[in-house]
Amino acid sequence: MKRINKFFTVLAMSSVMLVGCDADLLDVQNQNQPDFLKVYAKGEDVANVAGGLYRTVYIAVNFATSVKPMLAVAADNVTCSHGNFAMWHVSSEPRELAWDNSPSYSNENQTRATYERLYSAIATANNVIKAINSGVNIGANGVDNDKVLAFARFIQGVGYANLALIYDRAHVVDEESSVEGVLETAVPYNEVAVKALEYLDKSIALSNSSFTIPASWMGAPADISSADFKKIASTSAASLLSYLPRSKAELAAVDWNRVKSYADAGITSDVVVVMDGTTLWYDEAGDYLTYDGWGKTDMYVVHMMDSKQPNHWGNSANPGHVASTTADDQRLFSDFQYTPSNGFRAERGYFNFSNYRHKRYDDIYVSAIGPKPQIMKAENDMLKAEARVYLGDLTGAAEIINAGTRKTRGKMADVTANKEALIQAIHHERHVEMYTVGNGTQFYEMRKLDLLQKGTFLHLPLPARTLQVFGVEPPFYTFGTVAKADGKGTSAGGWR
Amino acid sequence: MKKRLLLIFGFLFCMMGSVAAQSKAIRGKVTATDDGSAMPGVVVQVKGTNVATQTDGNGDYSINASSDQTLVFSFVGFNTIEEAVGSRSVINVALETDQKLLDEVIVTGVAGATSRKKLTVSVAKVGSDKLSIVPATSAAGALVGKVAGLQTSQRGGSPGAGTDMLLRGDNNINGSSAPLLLVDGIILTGSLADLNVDDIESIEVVKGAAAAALYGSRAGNGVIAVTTKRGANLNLNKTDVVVRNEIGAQQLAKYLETADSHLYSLASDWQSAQGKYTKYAGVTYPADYRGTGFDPRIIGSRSLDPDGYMDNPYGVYRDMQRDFFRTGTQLTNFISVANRSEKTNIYISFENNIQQGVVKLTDGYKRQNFRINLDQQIAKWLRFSATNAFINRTTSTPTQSDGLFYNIARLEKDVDLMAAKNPDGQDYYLRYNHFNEETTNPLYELSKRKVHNNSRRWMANYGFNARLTSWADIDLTHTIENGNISSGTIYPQNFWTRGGGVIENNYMSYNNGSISKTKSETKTNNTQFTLNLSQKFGDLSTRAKLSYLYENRHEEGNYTFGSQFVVSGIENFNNIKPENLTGASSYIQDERAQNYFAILGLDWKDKYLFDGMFRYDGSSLFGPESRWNPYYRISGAYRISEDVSINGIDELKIRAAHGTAGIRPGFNWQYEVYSLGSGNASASQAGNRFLKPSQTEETEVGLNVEFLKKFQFEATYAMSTTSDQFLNVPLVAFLNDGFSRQWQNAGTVKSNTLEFTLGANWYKKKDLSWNTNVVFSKVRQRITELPIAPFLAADQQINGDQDMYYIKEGELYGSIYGYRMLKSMEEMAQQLPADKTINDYEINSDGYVVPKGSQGTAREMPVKKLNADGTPWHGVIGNGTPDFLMGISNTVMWKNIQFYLLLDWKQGGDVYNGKEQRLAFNNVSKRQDMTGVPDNLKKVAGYIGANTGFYDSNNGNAYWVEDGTYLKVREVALGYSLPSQWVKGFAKGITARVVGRNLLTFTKYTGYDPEVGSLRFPTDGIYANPLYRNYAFSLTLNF
Repeated sequence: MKRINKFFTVLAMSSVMLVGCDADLLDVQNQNQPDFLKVYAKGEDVANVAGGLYRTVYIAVNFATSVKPMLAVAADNVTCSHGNFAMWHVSSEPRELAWDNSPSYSNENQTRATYERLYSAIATANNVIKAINSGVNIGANGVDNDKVLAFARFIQGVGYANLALIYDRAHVVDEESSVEGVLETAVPYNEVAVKALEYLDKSIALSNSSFTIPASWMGAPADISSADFKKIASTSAASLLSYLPRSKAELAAVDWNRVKSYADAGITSDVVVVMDGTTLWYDEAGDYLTYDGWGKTDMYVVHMMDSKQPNHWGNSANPGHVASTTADDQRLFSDFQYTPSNGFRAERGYFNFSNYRHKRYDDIYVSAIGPKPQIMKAENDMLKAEARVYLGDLTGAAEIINAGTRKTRGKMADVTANKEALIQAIHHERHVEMYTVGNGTQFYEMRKLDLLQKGTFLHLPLPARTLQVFGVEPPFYTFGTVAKADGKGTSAGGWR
Repeated sequence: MKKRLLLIFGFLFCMMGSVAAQSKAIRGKVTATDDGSAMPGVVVQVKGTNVATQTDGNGDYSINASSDQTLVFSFVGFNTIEEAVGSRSVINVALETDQKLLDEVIVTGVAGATSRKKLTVSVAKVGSDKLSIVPATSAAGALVGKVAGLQTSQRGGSPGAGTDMLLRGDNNINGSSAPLLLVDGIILTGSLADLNVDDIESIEVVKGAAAAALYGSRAGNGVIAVTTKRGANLNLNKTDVVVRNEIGAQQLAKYLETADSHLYSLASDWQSAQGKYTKYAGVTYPADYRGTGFDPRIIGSRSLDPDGYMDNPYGVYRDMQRDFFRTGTQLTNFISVANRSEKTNIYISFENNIQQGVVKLTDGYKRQNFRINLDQQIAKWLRFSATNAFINRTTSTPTQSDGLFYNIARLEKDVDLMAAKNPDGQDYYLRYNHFNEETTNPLYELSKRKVHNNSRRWMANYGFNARLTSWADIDLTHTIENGNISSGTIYPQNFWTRGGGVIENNYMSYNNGSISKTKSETKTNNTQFTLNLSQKFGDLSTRAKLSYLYENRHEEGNYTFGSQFVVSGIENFNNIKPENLTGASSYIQDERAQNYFAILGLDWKDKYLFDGMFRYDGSSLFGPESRWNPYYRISGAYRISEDVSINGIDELKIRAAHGTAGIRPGFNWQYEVYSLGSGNASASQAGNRFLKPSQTEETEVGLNVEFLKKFQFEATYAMSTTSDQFLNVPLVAFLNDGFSRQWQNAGTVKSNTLEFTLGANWYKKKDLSWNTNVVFSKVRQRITELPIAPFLAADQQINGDQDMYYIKEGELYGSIYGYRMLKSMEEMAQQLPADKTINDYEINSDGYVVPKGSQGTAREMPVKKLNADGTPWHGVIGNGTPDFLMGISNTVMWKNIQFYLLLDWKQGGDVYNGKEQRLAFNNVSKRQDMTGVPDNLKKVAGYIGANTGFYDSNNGNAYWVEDGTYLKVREVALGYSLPSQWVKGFAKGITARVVGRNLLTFTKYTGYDPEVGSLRFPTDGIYANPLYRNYAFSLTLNF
């Protein structure tokens, strides 16, 4: 081997020290997730951010980890003995279990996930509006500003609408106003609803411009025109007003003229989300609420379709509730399936038992791929009819109902222009036709008619872990239990 | 700052001068006796003076001394030699290795190789003798019970599963408390789980921040440094071949006991179906019912037996635990070849490791390790060293999320997962229980899905050592760790799912299958330059290192998912329509760091020892405003026995150290983050430009005593304070632009540790020896400061579904929170409902307060403890921190027979039995089984299983806290080495051994195994997998 020069070897070895001279060496970028400057850098970026917002609202109320499964079983629309998603806890009979609002409760995330996702959408919508107000133009010369603004206002609107419907209170912040981060700055649900309607009104006004909402923004099968978008915002406003009351007393105070004008300007066909196999658009809660072996149809609903069936299973395992051969509502045969046996655990209560399950969406839930309505035209029809009932136009209400799914799908007898009959007919469609569609429709329906079983919460408290962040000391406030049935936070009424 | 450091370094360089000379010049060469090789760096001192020098790269030295003086030659790991000068001018000496001393030499975290006697900090060393007697299946489990202050917990028995290691306290509120891992100087980003033990020469365990301070911002949790075998340890011109084969078995040490009875009403003629199925009252079965699983023709539902007791027999009994868990085979084939010549030494090895595991329908774990370690003396002053390890691993074991061990145990006793077929004839009927449809057959998924998980890892260290002078040399090393992980899961097109089907298919349909693939790649390249200095100034020996380390890590990965195969039998992404390719993600991470450090070790007359170091770390993981962070250590020791002679005391040393080390934050913690999914951005994390490493400051004091020529004792007490913790602080999102979290430095954890090690050589003669080693540690830690509201610790649901661990100021770490049921009438008197008196209650046969007269009825429910305001009391119900840990190993050699036994004792420390709580929810807990229970003691099933019973809606409840004390026969070995004359001419030695691991556990814990969960969260949840018991036969041939 050649003689190796010691000096040069050592010099070469020492040169490794030189690598330390690069001043920027330790500045490493996060290449995976953008920051504010990247997300809001230019108009197209802002539009992209806005485009993802409806999906956040959608999963807030349609994922299994949300309030949707609980509200469906608490409303006696669906029944399930499984402990998952707090379903069994909130539907136990009698309603002796309050909503466990402690941070360590194993289902605490059911209320928090919905809450956090709604606020995530709202806060981002606020930023989008701020960006546009501060001069960011979307499209050439801001040609798409109205589209994005209308969409962001819609998100604020449906975000706060859901908060008002689900929780007893919420903090209202938007692109202009903020509040201190303490519990005391939250306002009651009815004030939240007022703000939600303001935002929806702004969205409706902005939708007078002509634009097209890309299908991907709403998981829709096709792009949505501004005219159709306006209808969706209108239906959302009508449903908020109609679903908000916590009791019959509050129901009496609803501004039905306002509901009528919103609903009359509402959707004329189903708002459909094309589920994409559990990736972005997946009504997961709807899956568990109907999946064979999981959610079954509460006897309360079975009885609606066939009055020969009982409205409650009763207190024995085998009371002999056989299959219906005839029914008042033919959907019992098209949308539902008779099950001669129960896979529910008897020890968790016979009240869970049912002899029917919902099969209407079975095909799309095999792989969770395909279109499922998120807001049905039938829902808007019922809002139109409901407003007319309470405004005294009973004939108009009956006409709408008799032209709708009650007849087209249920093949039911015409409803007469009688107030009680009409209210029952609307009640019927919400339970049967809108089964697992959207979030909480049946719960809100039962709530405003004082039909939720005694001891059922009328709304939910702010989530425990959120209260921790607000600095509130445990134990935290909550609703529910027969003992606390005050008709304000906890149902004092009940259909049985 | 960087410039200033370089100046300091330069100054230190200049300070290191050579010593002055005196009268008569003497020169010579120092060699090693075993192979005659030259020994550089040997200290040559004129006895009783300050005059000293060191041998150069060729082993040569020159020194001035007078004829009446004596030269002392010393080198770490070798016996010291004294030579009178006399008339000689050339004195050549050969030093002999002291094998015992060599085992006692520590190289990690110190200024240079240091004998344990002269150590000023706590470093434990486990040599190959202790590691190889019962070779663990991987390096991860090799240290269990062998090092004081090391707590381990095996996350699950799955082959290849990692081991949680914790040195002293768990100092971190968030993030890992795992120590820094080094293998041959390579800083690992991966784990030790795939490293084979046969290659390991020794493991040094550097406990605590003070000892580990040299590793700065990575070493807050201590350091575990593995050294693998090299040819350098052989005698010159010798070749050594080792062939070891081990074949063994793995099995579950116990099965969970569950209820043999149920609470449903039996049909009056239930015995007509006995042996086939359980015939329930009110249910009509089809005549040809196959006896198991869902049948759409069954009419009626199960009803509850009115008495509410679980004492009704099943019509047929099956034992799915015994039927499904198998005794798995485990196989190790190892061969190593080592050789040493004058300039070159080499060590090559290969190991093949197969562990089937105990779960049927899975392939288990397969691993191949390849290693080439090479040293080459290029020139007299220049040495090259290379270390290469390649690890190929394939696993197909059930994942923790399968919760298989719980899902099998929770079955009602008449269930048969295996007998019935699906409508198309596929095995493992999906709808296995007609009357409980919460779950589907876990074996069906296990049998159908194709899981692969492959990892390839290459670790290398290439280094040059250049000796500049007798007192200075430089090391330049470059280390590489490259890892590729590829995993994926395929469900075939004909995969059954409930729903979507017709009655003929029992309402089941094919889901048309899916495929997911994940790939990741990590590349770590570190370069280190070190100047080693060593000089003796009279009675003062000095050693120093100046070093620069550059770290560069790159990681990237991607994930793809699609469903709905179009053509049957082809399972790739090409067979999926674009709209069904619905999952894709990828990521890239880069991490760079620069670290400067200097360490100085002083040794005066072998009795006063001092160590000081400073390190300055810059990392891209620190926020730009906190990019550079300093660390230091000062430590000292006094070897009293060098000054004072005490009868029976062979060595007595006291020592103290104080130092700091840190933990680096995670990759994206400093950044403002909008999370992205399918093109949607949503605000998630606020950035923090000031994020810095957490800081652990530790003081330790220690005592080392060797006495009666038989015993070695070491005691250490360490106090550490970890501040600037990483807190993932929740924000009010709507007030923070949608950001819901931010990483902040806040909070303090203090911990105190007491450690003892006692080694005893009871007897040592040629034909019989017996030694014992005892390690003991006790740790206490408390969160002393937390500036935000208490919160539930993140990621605590490591293996279960209860939330019980709070981060709270003033709280002992490891405290379990939950509710409590009343056990005394005094407490009941404090919380009487308005309409009740104390006479309405009584203590039941279990010792709990219940309504009077309710025993044995459905009204018998425990009463939850309340606060004064009537809300439920929620507080500490247990603590997972053990009172102490002890490992006791004994080695007995009698002629050619060796016996080794390692007992592992954990005293105290609670385990939360969340699995049993869930079994009760399913009414299959043994505690609910009333078969054979006297009538006056019977309880209804809901007493334990109902929400209002002890199940308590799956909340943490004191009822489920159990004492986790155990004594384990951790390792046992009986070996026999064939007498050398028998194998002469064939081999150097042949040793046969029978070994066992986790053979026996003595515990009162009722679950699978009290060694469960993590050290931070000692939960035995529904996803926890138990440890396996192993026994094996091993044959080692040495050529």
